Amino acid sequence: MPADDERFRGLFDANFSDLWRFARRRCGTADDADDVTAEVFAIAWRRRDDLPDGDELRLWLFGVARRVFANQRRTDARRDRLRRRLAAIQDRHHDVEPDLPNAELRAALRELSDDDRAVVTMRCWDGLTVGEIAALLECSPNAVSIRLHRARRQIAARLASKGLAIDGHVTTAPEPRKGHPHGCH
Amino acid sequence: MDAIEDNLFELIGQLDPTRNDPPPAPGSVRRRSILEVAMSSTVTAPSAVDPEAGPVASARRQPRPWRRVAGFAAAVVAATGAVVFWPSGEERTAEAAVRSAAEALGDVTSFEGERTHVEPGVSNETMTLRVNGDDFEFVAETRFADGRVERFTAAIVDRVQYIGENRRTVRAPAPPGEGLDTPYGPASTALVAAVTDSDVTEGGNEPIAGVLTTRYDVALTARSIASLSSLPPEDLNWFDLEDPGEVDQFTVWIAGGHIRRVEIAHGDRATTVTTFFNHNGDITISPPPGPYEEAVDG
Repeated sequence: MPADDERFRGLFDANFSDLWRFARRRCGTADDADDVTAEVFAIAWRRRDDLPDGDELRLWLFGVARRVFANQRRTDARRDRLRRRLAAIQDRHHDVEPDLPNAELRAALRELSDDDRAVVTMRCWDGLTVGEIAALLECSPNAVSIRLHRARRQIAARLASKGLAIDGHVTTAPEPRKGHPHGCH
Repeated sequence: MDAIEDNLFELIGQLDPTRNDPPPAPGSVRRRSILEVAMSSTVTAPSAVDPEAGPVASARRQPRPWRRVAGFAAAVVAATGAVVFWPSGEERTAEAAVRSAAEALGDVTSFEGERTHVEPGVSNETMTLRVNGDDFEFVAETRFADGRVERFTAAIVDRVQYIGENRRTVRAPAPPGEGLDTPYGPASTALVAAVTDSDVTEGGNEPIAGVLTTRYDVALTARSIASLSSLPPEDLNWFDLEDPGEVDQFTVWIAGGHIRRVEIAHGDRATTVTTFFNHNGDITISPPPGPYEEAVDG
């Protein structure tokens, strides 16, 4: 096997799961995540001679993935299709997950601005540090921290308006309802 | 970060879609096929935003409507430029007129344009563009069949850009190389490719916006379709020529050396009409009304 191929297979294996999860968290379906992952790795393959190393490569792949999403949004037909798909997925989530705190949390997340939601999901789902998020979004770490803080306040306010509270350890609701388990799981 | 924030973010973490939808396992057919697709890739797919631009090393960016806007501007310029290089009294076909227009890029310094894109049962999009030199303003409104309305605006005035979406306007220095100083060539190439080697016939006179025009019907041929198909999508999308094989109506209206309108239809699927006004007119571009949010500065 040529050294080029071997090295690429190595970086593919090292980054595949992280990149696929990054894509899946922002796609409606696993099939879409497959497509995005394939497109990002195809770009990486074409640029295999000048890829960064280590953690920087992971961020580079995430950044390319974000641009792939951006391109999707910029193509009208694909954009509309994606929206319909996302809407359907969101509806399905509501159907299968009536759990109250999670439903409210999900709604609160959706109500964030795109920028704030991106920061929160990168932090909470992708496990990126503030510095990594800043590098990925090409803004300052301070700006990321501000967005995180703003998002947290907005989410907490939304939950409070529904009678839910974050007490430092658990999410609580004042009046548990039958058939709707509460708390985190 | 305090304990409450920790807890909140932990709860959000539990909503992670991949908790119940893990990535394809090592050795699985899906994973192998993704690797094979990637390693068989040899061509850079054209796109509106270059996905190959590294996020870490590149300059910070705002969302980039510019390339799209520039495509529209290029299309307008391609169409309006005909007046400059169309010698008085010389008879030309629509094909020759558009080709001359494309070659005259850069000589039109101001213009206005309007584009409608209708997909029955899906959406109705209207865009307007006003340009004067490097300054321009662009407004797009899309009405979806389900009642949603989206409005997007973009402007560059004195090298300051204004991006408006969902009732917010973000102001920032215009990135160098963006805006309408983007080369016009590719979109004009699309227009030339569309009429070169096509069958063009005159269809009589029709008024458009109070101007008597001559209508030309363009029937794409296998050769012109092949020419169009070889171009990247962003060069084609403003005339909705991305699927040239599916175009079943292509009409051009010309008056006084100007292309006044281009209409492309794909059967019942979609119709795109681009209309041009006020070529080289005295057009003032002003910033959109405030208040503005300043772009996050990295």
